[in-house]
Amino acid sequence: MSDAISLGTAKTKQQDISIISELMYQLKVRDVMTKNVHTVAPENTLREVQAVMRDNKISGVPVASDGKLVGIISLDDIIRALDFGEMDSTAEDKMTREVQTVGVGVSVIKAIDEMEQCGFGRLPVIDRDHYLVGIVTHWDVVKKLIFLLQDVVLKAEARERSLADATPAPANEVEGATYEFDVCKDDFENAGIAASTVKKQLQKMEVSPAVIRRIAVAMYETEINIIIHSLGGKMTAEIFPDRVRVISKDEGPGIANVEKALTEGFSTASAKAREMGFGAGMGLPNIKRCVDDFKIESAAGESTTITFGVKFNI
Amino acid sequence: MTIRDIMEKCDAELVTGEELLDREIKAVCASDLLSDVLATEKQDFMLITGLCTPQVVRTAELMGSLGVMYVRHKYPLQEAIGMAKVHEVPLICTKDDLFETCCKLAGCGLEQF
Ligand SMILES: Nc1ncnc2c1ncn2[C@@H]1O[C@H](COP(=O)(O)OP(=O)(O)O)[C@@H](O)[C@H]1O
Ligand SMILES: [Mg+2]
Repeated sequence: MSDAISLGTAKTKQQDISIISELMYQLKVRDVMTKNVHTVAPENTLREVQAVMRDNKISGVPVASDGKLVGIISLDDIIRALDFGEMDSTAEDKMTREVQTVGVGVSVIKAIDEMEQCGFGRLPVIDRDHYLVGIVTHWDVVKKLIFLLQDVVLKAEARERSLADATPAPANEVEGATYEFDVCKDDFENAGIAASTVKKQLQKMEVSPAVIRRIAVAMYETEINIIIHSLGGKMTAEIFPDRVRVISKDEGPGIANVEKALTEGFSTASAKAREMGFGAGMGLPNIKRCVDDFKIESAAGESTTITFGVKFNI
Repeated sequence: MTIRDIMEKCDAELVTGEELLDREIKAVCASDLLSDVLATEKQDFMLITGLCTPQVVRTAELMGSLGVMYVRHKYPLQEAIGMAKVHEVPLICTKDDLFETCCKLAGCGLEQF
Protein backbone atom coordinates (compact mmCIF):
# COMPACT_ATOMS: atom_id res chain seq x y z
CA MET A 1 0.00 0.00 0.00
CA SER A 2 2.62 2.54 1.03
CA ASP A 3 4.69 1.36 -1.93
CA ALA A 4 1.88 2.20 -4.30
CA ILE A 5 1.59 5.65 -2.80
CA SER A 6 5.27 6.52 -3.06
CA LEU A 7 5.35 5.17 -6.60
CA GLY A 8 2.43 7.40 -7.52
CA THR A 9 4.14 10.41 -6.01
CA ALA A 10 7.38 9.74 -7.85
CA LYS A 11 5.55 9.44 -11.14
CA THR A 12 3.78 12.75 -10.75
CA LYS A 13 6.98 14.47 -9.69
CA GLN A 14 8.68 13.22 -12.81
CA GLN A 15 5.83 14.61 -14.88
CA ASP A 16 6.11 17.98 -13.18
CA ILE A 17 9.83 18.09 -13.84
CA SER A 18 9.43 17.16 -17.48
CA ILE A 19 7.18 20.21 -17.85
CA ILE A 20 10.11 22.33 -16.68
CA SER A 21 12.52 20.70 -19.14
CA GLU A 22 10.02 21.25 -21.92
CA LEU A 23 9.81 24.92 -21.00
CA MET A 24 13.59 25.16 -20.85
CA TYR A 25 13.80 23.56 -24.26
CA GLN A 26 11.32 26.04 -25.75
CA LEU A 27 13.08 29.02 -24.17
CA LYS A 28 16.06 30.22 -26.18
CA VAL A 29 19.14 31.98 -24.87
CA ARG A 30 17.95 35.24 -26.48
CA ASP A 31 14.83 35.12 -24.26
CA VAL A 32 16.79 35.08 -21.02
CA MET A 33 20.19 36.70 -21.64
CA THR A 34 21.31 40.08 -20.36
CA LYS A 35 21.72 42.29 -23.40
CA ASN A 36 23.80 45.16 -22.08
CA VAL A 37 27.15 43.50 -21.68
CA HIS A 38 30.11 45.34 -20.20
CA THR A 39 33.04 44.85 -22.53
CA VAL A 40 36.59 46.10 -22.85
CA ALA A 41 38.64 46.78 -25.96
CA PRO A 42 41.79 44.78 -26.82
CA GLU A 43 43.93 47.88 -26.29
CA ASN A 44 42.61 48.59 -22.76
CA THR A 45 45.15 47.98 -19.99
CA LEU A 46 44.50 45.41 -17.29
CA ARG A 47 44.27 48.32 -14.85
CA GLU A 48 41.36 49.67 -16.88
CA VAL A 49 39.83 46.20 -17.13
CA GLN A 50 40.04 45.79 -13.36
CA ALA A 51 38.21 49.10 -12.92
CA VAL A 52 35.37 47.90 -15.18
CA MET A 53 35.11 44.68 -13.16
CA ARG A 54 35.15 46.48 -9.83
CA ASP A 55 32.65 49.18 -10.85
CA ASN A 56 30.19 46.64 -12.20
CA LYS A 57 30.86 43.93 -9.63
CA ILE A 58 31.56 41.27 -12.25
CA SER A 59 34.14 38.50 -12.17
CA GLY A 60 34.88 38.36 -15.88
CA VAL A 61 34.68 40.70 -18.85
CA PRO A 62 34.56 39.90 -22.56
CA VAL A 63 37.03 41.61 -24.86
CA ALA A 64 35.34 42.86 -28.02
CA SER A 65 36.66 44.44 -31.16
CA ASP A 66 34.15 46.11 -33.48
CA GLY A 67 31.41 44.23 -31.69
CA LYS A 68 33.00 40.84 -32.22
CA LEU A 69 34.12 38.70 -29.33
CA VAL A 70 37.89 38.19 -29.39
CA GLY A 71 38.66 37.02 -25.85
CA ILE A 72 37.80 37.18 -22.17
CA ILE A 73 39.58 38.45 -19.04
CA SER A 74 38.74 36.71 -15.79
CA LEU A 75 39.47 37.66 -12.20
CA ASP A 76 42.26 35.04 -12.25
CA ASP A 77 43.99 36.91 -15.08
CA ILE A 78 43.87 40.13 -13.03
CA ILE A 79 45.25 38.43 -9.91
CA ARG A 80 48.09 36.94 -11.91
CA ALA A 81 48.88 40.32 -13.49
CA LEU A 82 48.95 41.93 -10.05
CA ASP A 83 51.34 39.20 -8.89
CA PHE A 84 53.69 39.73 -11.79
CA GLY A 85 53.33 43.52 -11.98
CA GLU A 86 51.75 43.35 -15.41
CA MET A 87 48.79 45.65 -14.86
CA ASP A 88 49.91 47.92 -17.69
CA SER A 89 49.82 45.13 -20.27
CA THR A 90 46.90 45.22 -22.69
CA ALA A 91 43.85 43.00 -22.53
CA GLU A 92 44.84 41.55 -25.89
CA ASP A 93 48.14 40.38 -24.36
CA LYS A 94 46.69 38.55 -21.39
CA MET A 95 43.19 37.48 -22.41
CA THR A 96 42.00 33.94 -22.98
CA ARG A 97 41.36 33.61 -26.69
CA GLU A 98 39.55 30.30 -26.66
CA VAL A 99 36.33 31.56 -25.14
CA GLN A 100 33.53 29.15 -24.34
CA THR A 101 30.44 30.81 -25.86
CA VAL A 102 26.86 29.93 -26.54
CA GLY A 103 24.72 30.73 -29.59
CA VAL A 104 21.83 33.17 -29.22
CA GLY A 105 19.32 30.74 -30.73
CA VAL A 106 20.31 27.77 -28.60
CA SER A 107 17.82 26.36 -26.09
CA VAL A 108 18.27 27.30 -22.46
CA ILE A 109 18.54 23.64 -21.51
CA LYS A 110 21.52 23.27 -23.85
CA ALA A 111 23.12 26.44 -22.48
CA ILE A 112 22.80 25.14 -18.91
CA ASP A 113 24.33 21.89 -20.06
CA GLU A 114 27.30 23.75 -21.55
CA MET A 115 27.80 25.80 -18.38
CA GLU A 116 27.88 22.55 -16.40
CA GLN A 117 30.42 21.04 -18.75
CA CYS A 118 32.86 23.95 -18.85
CA GLY A 119 32.35 24.90 -15.21
CA PHE A 120 31.64 28.59 -15.88
CA GLY A 121 28.60 30.20 -14.36
CA ARG A 122 28.30 32.70 -17.20
CA LEU A 123 28.71 32.42 -20.93
CA PRO A 124 29.05 35.18 -23.54
CA VAL A 125 26.32 34.92 -26.16
CA ILE A 126 27.21 35.33 -29.82
CA ASP A 127 25.15 35.47 -32.98
CA ARG A 128 25.80 33.65 -36.22
CA ASP A 129 28.48 36.16 -37.30
CA HIS A 130 30.31 35.95 -33.97
CA TYR A 131 29.06 39.33 -32.76
CA LEU A 132 28.74 39.53 -28.99
CA VAL A 133 25.03 40.08 -28.26
CA GLY A 134 24.68 39.26 -24.59
CA ILE A 135 25.71 37.24 -21.60
CA VAL A 136 23.81 34.44 -19.89
CA THR A 137 24.02 33.07 -16.34
CA HIS A 138 22.19 30.40 -14.35
CA TRP A 139 20.43 33.19 -12.53
CA ASP A 140 19.03 34.64 -15.79
CA VAL A 141 17.40 31.28 -16.46
CA VAL A 142 15.97 30.97 -12.96
CA LYS A 143 14.68 34.55 -13.10
CA LYS A 144 12.91 33.88 -16.39
CA LEU A 145 11.32 30.67 -15.13
CA ILE A 146 10.05 32.44 -12.01
CA PHE A 147 8.71 35.23 -14.19
CA LEU A 148 6.88 32.76 -16.43
CA LEU A 149 5.35 31.01 -13.42
CA GLN A 150 4.18 34.32 -11.96
CA ASP A 151 2.81 35.29 -15.33
CA VAL A 152 0.54 32.22 -15.31
CA VAL A 153 -0.75 33.29 -11.89
CA LEU A 154 -1.43 36.83 -13.12
CA LYS A 155 -3.21 35.64 -16.27
CA ALA A 156 -5.43 33.28 -14.26
CA GLU A 157 -6.18 36.13 -11.86
CA ALA A 158 -7.14 38.46 -14.71
CA ARG A 159 -9.40 35.85 -16.26
CA GLU A 160 -11.17 35.10 -12.99
CA ARG A 161 -11.70 38.78 -12.26
CA SER A 162 -13.27 39.29 -15.67
CA LEU A 163 -15.98 36.71 -14.86
CA ALA A 164 -17.62 39.17 -12.49
CA ASP A 165 -17.89 41.73 -15.31
CA ALA A 166 -19.71 39.43 -17.74
CA THR A 167 -22.62 41.23 -19.39
CA PRO A 168 -25.69 39.34 -20.61
CA ALA A 169 -26.39 38.89 -24.31
CA PRO A 170 -29.06 41.33 -25.58
CA ALA A 171 -32.41 39.93 -24.42
CA ASN A 172 -34.98 38.99 -27.02
CA GLU A 173 -38.48 37.96 -25.98
CA VAL A 174 -37.39 36.82 -22.54
CA GLU A 175 -37.34 39.12 -19.56
CA GLY A 176 -34.32 37.45 -17.98
CA ALA A 177 -30.67 38.30 -18.53
CA THR A 178 -29.19 35.65 -20.80
CA TYR A 179 -25.61 34.43 -20.53
CA GLU A 180 -24.23 32.12 -23.19
CA PHE A 181 -21.18 29.90 -22.91
CA ASP A 182 -19.40 27.75 -25.46
CA VAL A 183 -18.10 24.62 -23.81
CA CYS A 184 -15.46 22.68 -25.74
CA LYS A 185 -14.57 19.02 -25.72
CA ASP A 186 -11.63 18.22 -23.43
CA ASP A 187 -11.26 21.87 -22.42
CA PHE A 188 -10.65 21.30 -18.72
CA GLU A 189 -8.90 24.63 -18.45
CA ASN A 190 -12.16 26.52 -18.86
CA ALA A 191 -14.31 24.06 -16.94
CA GLY A 192 -16.54 25.93 -14.55
CA ILE A 193 -16.41 29.32 -16.27
CA ALA A 194 -20.18 29.21 -16.87
CA ALA A 195 -20.92 28.18 -13.29
CA SER A 196 -18.53 30.74 -11.85
CA THR A 197 -19.85 33.58 -14.01
CA VAL A 198 -23.46 32.88 -13.06
CA LYS A 199 -22.47 32.56 -9.41
CA LYS A 200 -20.94 36.05 -9.52
CA GLN A 201 -24.10 37.53 -11.03
CA LEU A 202 -26.31 35.83 -8.43
CA GLN A 203 -24.07 37.11 -5.64
CA LYS A 204 -24.60 40.64 -6.96
CA MET A 205 -28.36 39.98 -6.73
CA GLU A 206 -27.87 38.81 -3.13
CA VAL A 207 -29.39 35.40 -3.74
CA SER A 208 -28.83 33.16 -0.70
CA PRO A 209 -25.50 31.31 -0.64
CA ALA A 210 -27.20 27.92 -0.28
CA VAL A 211 -29.22 28.44 -3.45
CA ILE A 212 -26.20 29.79 -5.30
CA ARG A 213 -24.25 26.69 -4.31
CA ARG A 214 -26.95 24.38 -5.73
CA ILE A 215 -27.04 26.29 -9.02
CA ALA A 216 -23.25 26.45 -9.26
CA VAL A 217 -22.84 22.72 -8.65
CA ALA A 218 -25.55 21.78 -11.17
CA MET A 219 -23.99 24.02 -13.81
CA TYR A 220 -20.46 22.81 -13.11
CA GLU A 221 -21.43 19.13 -13.37
CA THR A 222 -23.26 19.90 -16.61
CA GLU A 223 -20.21 21.70 -18.01
CA ILE A 224 -17.93 18.86 -17.00
CA ASN A 225 -20.22 16.35 -18.74
CA ILE A 226 -20.05 18.34 -21.99
CA ILE A 227 -16.26 18.50 -21.66
CA ILE A 228 -15.65 14.84 -20.87
CA HIS A 229 -18.51 13.05 -22.67
CA SER A 230 -19.52 15.13 -25.67
CA LEU A 231 -18.10 16.74 -28.79
CA GLY A 232 -18.72 20.17 -27.31
CA GLY A 233 -21.79 22.29 -26.78
CA LYS A 234 -23.42 25.43 -25.57
CA MET A 235 -24.83 26.41 -22.21
CA THR A 236 -27.33 29.17 -21.73
CA ALA A 237 -28.29 30.57 -18.37
CA GLU A 238 -31.28 32.87 -18.05
CA ILE A 239 -31.38 34.81 -14.82
CA PHE A 240 -34.82 36.07 -13.79
CA PRO A 241 -35.51 38.12 -10.65
CA ASP A 242 -36.79 35.01 -8.85
CA ARG A 243 -35.18 32.02 -10.60
CA VAL A 244 -32.56 30.68 -12.98
CA ARG A 245 -33.09 28.51 -16.02
CA VAL A 246 -30.21 26.64 -17.62
CA ILE A 247 -30.24 24.97 -21.00
CA SER A 248 -27.33 22.83 -22.12
CA LYS A 249 -27.19 21.42 -25.63
CA ASP A 250 -24.24 19.53 -27.05
CA GLU A 251 -23.28 18.15 -30.44
CA GLY A 252 -23.57 14.48 -29.52
CA PRO A 253 -22.78 11.58 -29.45
CA GLY A 254 -25.75 11.30 -27.12
CA ILE A 255 -26.71 8.79 -24.44
CA ALA A 256 -28.06 5.39 -25.48
CA ASN A 257 -29.73 4.58 -22.17
CA VAL A 258 -30.70 7.74 -20.33
CA GLU A 259 -32.24 5.90 -17.39
CA LYS A 260 -29.02 4.03 -16.77
CA ALA A 261 -26.98 7.24 -17.08
CA LEU A 262 -29.08 8.74 -14.31
CA THR A 263 -28.24 5.98 -11.81
CA GLU A 264 -25.57 6.68 -9.21
CA GLY A 265 -22.24 5.17 -10.06
CA PHE A 266 -22.86 4.60 -13.76
CA SER A 267 -20.07 6.14 -15.80
CA THR A 268 -18.39 5.76 -19.17
CA ALA A 269 -15.77 8.41 -18.32
CA SER A 270 -12.26 8.04 -19.75
CA ALA A 271 -9.18 7.35 -17.65
CA LYS A 272 -8.10 10.96 -18.20
CA ALA A 273 -11.37 12.32 -16.82
CA ARG A 274 -11.00 10.07 -13.77
CA GLU A 275 -7.42 11.20 -13.26
CA MET A 276 -8.76 14.76 -13.05
CA GLY A 277 -11.15 13.73 -10.27
CA PHE A 278 -14.31 13.30 -12.33
CA GLY A 279 -16.19 10.32 -13.72
CA ALA A 280 -17.58 8.70 -10.58
CA GLY A 281 -21.04 8.52 -12.08
CA MET A 282 -22.42 11.00 -9.56
CA GLY A 283 -22.89 14.00 -11.84
CA LEU A 284 -26.38 13.58 -13.25
CA PRO A 285 -27.86 12.34 -9.92
CA ASN A 286 -26.22 15.31 -8.20
CA ILE A 287 -27.61 17.77 -10.76
CA LYS A 288 -31.11 16.35 -10.23
CA ARG A 289 -30.75 16.67 -6.47
CA CYS A 290 -29.62 20.31 -6.70
CA VAL A 291 -32.37 21.67 -8.96
CA ASP A 292 -36.13 22.19 -8.72
CA ASP A 293 -37.03 20.87 -12.16
CA PHE A 294 -34.91 18.77 -14.48
CA LYS A 295 -35.30 17.43 -18.00
CA ILE A 296 -32.87 15.42 -20.09
CA GLU A 297 -33.35 14.51 -23.74
CA SER A 298 -30.92 12.29 -25.54
CA ALA A 299 -30.50 9.24 -27.75
CA ALA A 300 -27.57 7.39 -29.27
CA GLY A 301 -26.09 9.40 -32.11
CA GLU A 302 -27.94 12.56 -31.17
CA SER A 303 -27.26 15.63 -29.09
CA THR A 304 -27.97 15.70 -25.38
CA THR A 305 -30.13 18.52 -24.08
CA ILE A 306 -30.43 19.19 -20.38
CA THR A 307 -32.77 21.81 -19.00
CA PHE A 308 -33.10 22.71 -15.36
CA GLY A 309 -34.44 25.47 -13.19
CA VAL A 310 -33.85 26.68 -9.64
CA LYS A 311 -36.07 29.12 -7.73
CA PHE A 312 -34.52 31.61 -5.32
CA ASN A 313 -37.17 31.63 -2.58
CA ILE A 314 -36.38 29.67 0.54
CA MET B 1 -10.73 25.41 14.61
CA THR B 2 -9.08 27.94 12.32
CA ILE B 3 -7.01 27.22 9.22
CA ARG B 4 -4.03 28.46 11.20
CA ASP B 5 -4.70 25.75 13.82
CA ILE B 6 -5.00 23.13 11.09
CA MET B 7 -1.69 24.26 9.61
CA GLU B 8 0.00 23.81 12.94
CA LYS B 9 -1.57 20.40 13.55
CA CYS B 10 -0.68 19.10 10.10
CA ASP B 11 2.65 20.89 9.81
CA ALA B 12 1.37 22.54 6.65
CA GLU B 13 2.93 25.30 4.60
CA LEU B 14 1.12 28.32 3.22
CA VAL B 15 0.78 28.72 -0.55
CA THR B 16 -1.53 31.72 -0.71
CA GLY B 17 -4.14 33.51 1.39
CA GLU B 18 -2.21 34.63 4.47
CA GLU B 19 -4.99 37.10 5.38
CA LEU B 20 -7.67 34.37 5.36
CA LEU B 21 -6.14 31.96 7.86
CA ASP B 22 -8.39 32.95 10.76
CA ARG B 23 -11.42 31.43 9.08
CA GLU B 24 -13.28 29.05 11.34
CA ILE B 25 -13.42 25.54 9.84
CA LYS B 26 -16.36 23.37 10.93
CA ALA B 27 -15.86 20.31 8.73
CA VAL B 28 -13.47 18.56 6.41
CA CYS B 29 -14.12 17.01 3.03
CA ALA B 30 -11.20 14.73 2.19
CA SER B 31 -11.19 13.22 -1.29
CA ASP B 32 -9.37 12.84 -4.57
CA LEU B 33 -12.74 12.68 -6.30
CA LEU B 34 -14.13 16.10 -7.13
CA SER B 35 -17.51 14.52 -7.92
CA ASP B 36 -17.62 13.46 -4.25
CA VAL B 37 -16.80 16.94 -3.09
CA LEU B 38 -19.49 18.39 -5.35
CA ALA B 39 -22.02 16.08 -3.72
CA THR B 40 -21.24 16.92 -0.10
CA GLU B 41 -23.80 18.59 2.13
CA LYS B 42 -21.10 19.94 4.43
CA GLN B 43 -20.89 23.63 5.25
CA ASP B 44 -17.90 25.74 6.24
CA PHE B 45 -15.56 22.95 5.26
CA MET B 46 -11.95 22.65 4.24
CA LEU B 47 -11.18 20.53 1.21
CA ILE B 48 -8.26 18.13 1.60
CA THR B 49 -7.00 16.49 -1.56
CA GLY B 50 -4.06 15.00 -3.43
CA LEU B 51 -5.19 16.51 -6.75
CA CYS B 52 -3.43 19.71 -7.77
CA THR B 53 -5.31 20.82 -10.89
CA PRO B 54 -7.05 24.20 -11.21
CA GLN B 55 -10.37 22.30 -11.06
CA VAL B 56 -9.75 21.71 -7.35
CA VAL B 57 -9.84 25.46 -6.75
CA ARG B 58 -12.83 25.81 -9.07
CA THR B 59 -14.66 23.15 -7.07
CA ALA B 60 -13.74 24.83 -3.79
CA GLU B 61 -14.88 28.20 -5.10
CA LEU B 62 -18.23 26.92 -6.38
CA MET B 63 -18.88 24.94 -3.19
CA GLY B 64 -17.97 27.87 -0.97
CA SER B 65 -15.20 25.83 0.61
CA LEU B 66 -13.19 27.88 3.10
CA GLY B 67 -9.81 26.57 2.03
CA VAL B 68 -7.85 23.77 0.39
CA MET B 69 -5.08 21.62 1.84
CA TYR B 70 -2.95 19.60 -0.59
CA VAL B 71 -1.48 16.38 0.75
CA ARG B 72 1.48 14.17 -0.18
CA HIS B 73 3.83 17.00 -1.13
CA LYS B 74 1.47 18.17 -3.86
CA TYR B 75 1.74 21.79 -4.84
CA PRO B 76 -1.05 23.51 -6.76
CA LEU B 77 -0.47 24.49 -10.38
CA GLN B 78 0.26 28.19 -10.84
CA GLU B 79 -3.06 28.74 -12.55
CA ALA B 80 -4.81 27.35 -9.49
CA ILE B 81 -2.94 29.84 -7.31
CA GLY B 82 -4.15 32.74 -9.48
CA MET B 83 -7.73 31.51 -9.25
CA ALA B 84 -7.47 31.02 -5.50
CA LYS B 85 -6.28 34.60 -5.01
CA VAL B 86 -9.27 36.05 -6.83
CA HIS B 87 -11.86 33.81 -5.16
CA GLU B 88 -10.20 34.17 -1.76
CA VAL B 89 -9.58 30.48 -1.21
CA PRO B 90 -6.51 30.02 0.99
CA LEU B 91 -4.24 27.17 -0.12
CA ILE B 92 -1.93 25.20 2.16
CA CYS B 93 0.08 22.02 1.65
CA THR B 94 1.51 19.22 3.75
CA LYS B 95 3.87 16.31 3.14
CA ASP B 96 1.60 13.74 4.84
CA ASP B 97 -0.81 11.62 2.83
CA LEU B 98 -4.58 11.91 2.99
CA PHE B 99 -4.98 9.21 5.65
CA GLU B 100 -2.26 10.56 7.96
CA THR B 101 -3.68 14.04 7.63
CA CYS B 102 -7.18 12.91 8.52
CA CYS B 103 -5.81 11.00 11.53
CA LYS B 104 -4.13 14.15 12.80
CA LEU B 105 -7.39 16.06 12.50
CA ALA B 106 -9.57 13.35 14.02
CA GLY B 107 -11.12 14.39 17.33
CA CYS B 108 -10.74 18.09 16.59
CA GLY B 109 -14.47 18.60 16.29
CA LEU B 110 -14.50 18.59 12.50
CA GLU B 111 -16.83 15.61 12.19
CA GLN B 112 -20.01 17.01 10.71
CA PHE B 113 -23.00 14.99 9.67
N1 LIG C 1 -23.40 15.39 -22.37
C1 LIG C 1 -23.27 14.04 -22.41
N2 LIG C 1 -23.03 13.43 -23.59
C2 LIG C 1 -22.90 12.10 -23.65
N3 LIG C 1 -22.97 11.29 -22.59
C3 LIG C 1 -23.22 11.84 -21.38
C4 LIG C 1 -23.38 13.24 -21.23
N4 LIG C 1 -23.61 13.49 -19.94
C5 LIG C 1 -23.60 12.31 -19.30
N5 LIG C 1 -23.37 11.29 -20.17
C6 LIG C 1 -23.34 9.86 -19.86
O1 LIG C 1 -23.96 9.65 -18.61
C7 LIG C 1 -23.04 9.03 -17.71
C8 LIG C 1 -23.30 9.47 -16.30
O2 LIG C 1 -23.03 10.88 -16.17
P1 LIG C 1 -22.66 11.44 -14.74
O3 LIG C 1 -23.71 11.01 -13.78
O4 LIG C 1 -22.40 12.90 -14.87
O5 LIG C 1 -21.35 10.66 -14.35
P2 LIG C 1 -19.85 10.84 -14.90
O6 LIG C 1 -19.78 12.12 -15.64
O7 LIG C 1 -19.05 10.84 -13.65
O8 LIG C 1 -19.57 9.66 -15.78
C9 LIG C 1 -21.70 9.37 -18.26
O9 LIG C 1 -20.69 8.47 -17.87
C10 LIG C 1 -21.94 9.32 -19.75
O10 LIG C 1 -21.94 8.00 -20.22
MG1 LIG D 1 -20.50 13.89 -14.91
